[in-house]
Amino acid sequence: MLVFIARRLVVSVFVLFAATFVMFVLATNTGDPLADLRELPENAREAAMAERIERMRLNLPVYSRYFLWLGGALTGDFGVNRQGQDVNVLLTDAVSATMQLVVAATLLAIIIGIAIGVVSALRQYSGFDHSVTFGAFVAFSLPIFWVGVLLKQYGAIEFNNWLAQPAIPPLVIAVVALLAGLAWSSLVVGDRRTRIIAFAGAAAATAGILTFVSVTRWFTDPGLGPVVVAVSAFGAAVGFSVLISGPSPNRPMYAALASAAVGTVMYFALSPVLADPSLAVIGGLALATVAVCVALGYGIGGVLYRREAVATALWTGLFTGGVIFVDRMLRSFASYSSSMQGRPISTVGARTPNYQGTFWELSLDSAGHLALPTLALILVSLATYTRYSRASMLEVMNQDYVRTARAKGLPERTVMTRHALRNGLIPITTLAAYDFGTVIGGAVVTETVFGWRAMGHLLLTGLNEADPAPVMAFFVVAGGAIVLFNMVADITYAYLDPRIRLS
Amino acid sequence: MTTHHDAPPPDPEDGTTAPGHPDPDAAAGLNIAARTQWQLVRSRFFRHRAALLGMVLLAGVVLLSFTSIGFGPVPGWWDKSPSATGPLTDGGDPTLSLVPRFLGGAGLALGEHPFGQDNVGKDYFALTMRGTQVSLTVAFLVGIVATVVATVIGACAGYFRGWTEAVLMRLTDVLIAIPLLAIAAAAAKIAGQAGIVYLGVVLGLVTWTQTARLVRGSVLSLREKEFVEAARSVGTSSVRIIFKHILPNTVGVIIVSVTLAIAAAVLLESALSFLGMGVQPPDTSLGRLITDYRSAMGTRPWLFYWPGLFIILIALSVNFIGDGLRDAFDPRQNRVRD
Amino acid sequence: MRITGKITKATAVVAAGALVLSACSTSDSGDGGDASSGSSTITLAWDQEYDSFNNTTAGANSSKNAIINHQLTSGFWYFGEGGAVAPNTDFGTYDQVSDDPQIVEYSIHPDAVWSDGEVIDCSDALLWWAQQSGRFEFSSNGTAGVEDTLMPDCEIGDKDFALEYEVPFSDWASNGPGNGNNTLMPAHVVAEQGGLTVEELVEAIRDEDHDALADSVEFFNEGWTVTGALPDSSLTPSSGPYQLAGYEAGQSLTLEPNESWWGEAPATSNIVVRWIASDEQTQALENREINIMRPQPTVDLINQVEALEGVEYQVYDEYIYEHLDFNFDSSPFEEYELREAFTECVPRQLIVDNLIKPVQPDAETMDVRNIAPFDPGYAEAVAASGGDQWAEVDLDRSRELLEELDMVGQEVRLGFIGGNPRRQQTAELIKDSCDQAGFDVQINGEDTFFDTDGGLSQNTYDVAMYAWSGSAQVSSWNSTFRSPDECTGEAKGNNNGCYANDDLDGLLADVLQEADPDAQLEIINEIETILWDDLVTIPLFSHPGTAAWSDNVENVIPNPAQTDIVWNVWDWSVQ
Repeated sequence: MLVFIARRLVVSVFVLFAATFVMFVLATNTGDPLADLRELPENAREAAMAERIERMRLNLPVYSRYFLWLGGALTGDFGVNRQGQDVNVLLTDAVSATMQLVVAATLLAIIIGIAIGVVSALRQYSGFDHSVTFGAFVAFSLPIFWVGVLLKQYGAIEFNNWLAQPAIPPLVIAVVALLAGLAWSSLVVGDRRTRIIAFAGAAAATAGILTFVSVTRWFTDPGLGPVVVAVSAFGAAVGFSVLISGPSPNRPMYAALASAAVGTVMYFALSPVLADPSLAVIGGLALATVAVCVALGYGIGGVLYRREAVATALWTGLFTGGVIFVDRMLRSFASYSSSMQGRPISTVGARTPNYQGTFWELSLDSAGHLALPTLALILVSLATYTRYSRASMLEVMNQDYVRTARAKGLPERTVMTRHALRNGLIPITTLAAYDFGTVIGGAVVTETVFGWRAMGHLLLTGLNEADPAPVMAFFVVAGGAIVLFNMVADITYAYLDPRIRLS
Repeated sequence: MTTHHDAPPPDPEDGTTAPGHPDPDAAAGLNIAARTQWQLVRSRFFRHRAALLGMVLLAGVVLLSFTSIGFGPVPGWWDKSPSATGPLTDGGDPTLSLVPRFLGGAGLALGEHPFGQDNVGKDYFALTMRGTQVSLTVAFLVGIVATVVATVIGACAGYFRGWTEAVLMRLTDVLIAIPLLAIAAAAAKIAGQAGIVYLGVVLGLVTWTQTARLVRGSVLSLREKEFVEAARSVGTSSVRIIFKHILPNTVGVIIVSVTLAIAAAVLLESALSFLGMGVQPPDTSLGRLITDYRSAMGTRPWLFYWPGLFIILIALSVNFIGDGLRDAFDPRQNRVRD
Repeated sequence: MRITGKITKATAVVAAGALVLSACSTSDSGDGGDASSGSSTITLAWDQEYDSFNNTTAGANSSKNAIINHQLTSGFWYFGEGGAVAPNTDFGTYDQVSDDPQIVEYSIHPDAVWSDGEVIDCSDALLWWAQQSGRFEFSSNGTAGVEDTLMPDCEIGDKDFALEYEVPFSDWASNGPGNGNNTLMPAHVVAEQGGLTVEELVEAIRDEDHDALADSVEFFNEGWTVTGALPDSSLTPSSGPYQLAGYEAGQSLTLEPNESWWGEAPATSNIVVRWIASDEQTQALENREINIMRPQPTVDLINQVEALEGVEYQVYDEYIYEHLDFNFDSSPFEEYELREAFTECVPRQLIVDNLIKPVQPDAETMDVRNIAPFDPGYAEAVAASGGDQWAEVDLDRSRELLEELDMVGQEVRLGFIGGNPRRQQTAELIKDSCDQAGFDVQINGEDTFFDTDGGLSQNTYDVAMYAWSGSAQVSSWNSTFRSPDECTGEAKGNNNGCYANDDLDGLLADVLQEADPDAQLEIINEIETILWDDLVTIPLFSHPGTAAWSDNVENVIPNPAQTDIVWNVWDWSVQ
């Protein structure tokens, strides 16, 4: 294994070097880097051109420029761009902006995509499955910039207009309720009667919630309130324990319920701390949650159920923490929205310039700017993860060991979570690694549509100005990520499937 | 646009990290006469309703775009040219009417300018058709070039192994390491205004990598088969073995891959045009039309929606065809029945 | 580009948006004092990022820097309302005290100080002269006017100095230190960064000691570049009503009032410039993320902005005009009759009807080149030069001429810079019409059209289409029609078509030295008559500009000069 990793590492480094050379040559040939200066009046032209020729080393052949660049890059100096700006500084800002976008989008796409894919595999050929498949194909076929323009119009401008009077028209409530009903009825297993009950129940619940939200103008001053927080916490406790350790009451479920209870109490107890915390406080609270939940699981689980109890308690605790976090952000929504003249969702940029506020308001500011580009990025990644996890699950569900597990009388839940899901997700982990590398490069279009001056901006201005320094800075990060994550994926795969490294 | 999103993913087991997987169907196909295998594939394909629908849609779009305004010296049945300017009628509103008279509409009628007119009074239907032609041409060129390069490189690497393989696959790795959009944008920028054929070829030359890996994987397993061994033992040349014995058996992988590459190329071209690096005026493409008229979305929406609709139509139908072909060549995925 | 807004190739303005701004200074109107309270903020969207505090250098002279530096500097004059040259008495006074030799005396306001407290005096003026005269290695965006003056004779601490011209210069009123791209830069900062005292700097300039100045020159040309962060605040003292307050790379820049400003305080305390691509600005304005935008006008943009609630917009005149240049050096258009045939088929009226009127309903074809349609004397010049007879096409006449020349089917290369849809569409209208007359117009939109190896320099066009941007100053367009020594990219200067005419050269020299405005107009009429009689260029239309702003912002007054929308930022107020 070590030999394999070492070999893979050497190859990756070599590949990256070769790729930088290819990219450098391409980037130096995209145009005339002096084009704009040639329009200057004669007396200024020569000096300006001489200055830029020296700065960009245009008097040297391309390969010398490449090695000079490489020499700098290896010591962490990416040089200056055409205007003489330090590319390292530009890159630092650009990377942090792009990472915000890409990390959030990828994580959400993975979680939601796998969930949908797995469910649609479990209910193959149901109405839900067909809709998901069709939806995924549509998502693959959408030009992302086209979607971006639509999102800005309807997701930001029209949505903000609507927020002024946030009433949901009855027709919309009816349609959404109908869709929810159809989705649930196609998901349940059972006879016609069960399906009708599921349809009616889901539709009625959806309609009820939407009507409540509409009538109370919930969106003008949203928040979840203690009741919803508590209900979600205990609901999650039950849900996680059913998934992890089965539906009958047992120790893991008690552990989960205990952590839900602690979470609900903390909702009140931590109120003053959470008024305007710092990021460190939030991080500390997250660590504390982990510690408390592990302790609860460890204590309540006893010797037999320790592992499962820790898992259920931990998941429940983190989920409850997340709900409290969201609740806090929502409660600041009204004040944030009013400081934005009632227009919280934005169409351009990464943040409001000079915006000052509490931790929650600043988070909302980020969220308001991240919402639409993330949505645009998710749309496409989501489809990929859905298709992959569906295919992978179907593949696994047909394997002999799954059949064996069923045959020896294990409950379906155990077969699915223990045998099918775990093995089905192995290819997804490698997909996620590949995907994350490429999505950094692929965010260029989204960044452009939403006016983010991030990595895409480096690439595009660099190409348009025939200025290799920013292009290479983009490349070292984006290409480096691809190489790194491909390597990680290969090693993971080799670890999971010994046939690879032996071949 | 990224590699991961441009095409629906192939089956996980086609993943490039698992090159050694034997392909049971390809193997099974060896025992059956080639014609029969093709018949099987065809019948499976025609059972795939979405793929059939995609086929019909794509044929419709191709026919519509190439017959309506004609191409090259061939005239079309639509009487307006995409380059003819003129006065604006009714602010350039579209005259297409789909609401029948008895429902209070103007009846089913195309009218003078079914898709409306642009700023200088060009017929937008003709423009959209021209854009469709260009986008289709670029996409198919990309598909063909990428497939040829990928097949040659993949087959050589897989068959000859050793140094050839090492060099070719490291070359592939190098290209894969460069984000597709970055290398495509740079290449398209350099190709500049040389025209759509050049653009298509250049894009094809940078998008073959994934297919090459798939072909190599497939060839790797085939070269160990008995019939290849047999051919080799009677002294058949390598070239002949590759072209007569191995490639025909990888045709499924290749066809599926080329289809998906075409769907991806439609979107790649439109994204590059959006960034100002694809098709250059005076020629146009669907991506360019959207880019030029995206500020018109609120006021003259037809200028924004029609080209978008055609991009989606093309990409969707090609993706469906690709899915149908994959199921036809490799039906394992459909075997699970609860 | 010269301080007077010397003509520049229009891509810089139109396609790339690299608008060159000239000077301006504080307002005398003094309205909106009530809004100067607390934390009022106005956000302006711009598509290109600020990258230098010093836009008097050649490299940094573009609108992205000018819109900001304009607020940080002041000078003796500025382009005031309507684009007219207006003296700025806040900064100081100046006047021409002698005709022969021509001498202009300048007197800096006694209270004038840099925001770091240093007095603005003769040392700053000397540095300005050293740079603008082109006699040192200081980078400068143009030297016309100042290169013909003698070195001012004044001492450190003096508030008065004089410029003596060796050759008469009619635009002297806009030739002294202004603001923005021809402003005074702080001599004490340049001296310190060059390792000198102010005295040593002044001494070195007097002695023309290039070696002693080397480090100062390097700082002057490079040291004010913005590289991911603003230069240290001690390096960027302001002489205008605002100073730099905050900067986020790639996002925005914030201005705050300059506490040391001796004039009237600006109406709004924070001006934020956000960098947003022009295509994304309308939706940002609609969503109230910005207050003011200044995009290129298109039909859709106007319709869209018009439909927005709470948004005001204005379409206004600019000193920029689109035109066709014939190639007199290496094209069939050396033949007068062919120029006539082409002029007869160019659908000037249709171009205006289809492309400009939807934006600016009262737009007309532009019928002379060197007086803007909205300036006095335009109608007289049109009448005098006969420019009004070419608006409508006469395809029959055009075809007749082509047949006489036996040049039916003549291929004509119409060259222009790619990337601007309106120009592309203009070209298509021309092709459509002229092909009917019997030409074979090749549309050659190239991205490299203005490059040294591009079409315009290499004369690989038959007729070129681009725009000139200028001002009401006669010096701003003078070189465009001067006979070149030889027709190469280097030598032909602004006369891209290489038209040569000795009579015209004489008139061009006269107009530069003619101080009386009425007499100037007379000469311009004669110039225009020659240009039309010989069909040297075909003016098409004057470019309209657009600005849109949310209706809670007041005092946004677009300006035809290159200062455009930002000429009176200090008057902007917000409710």
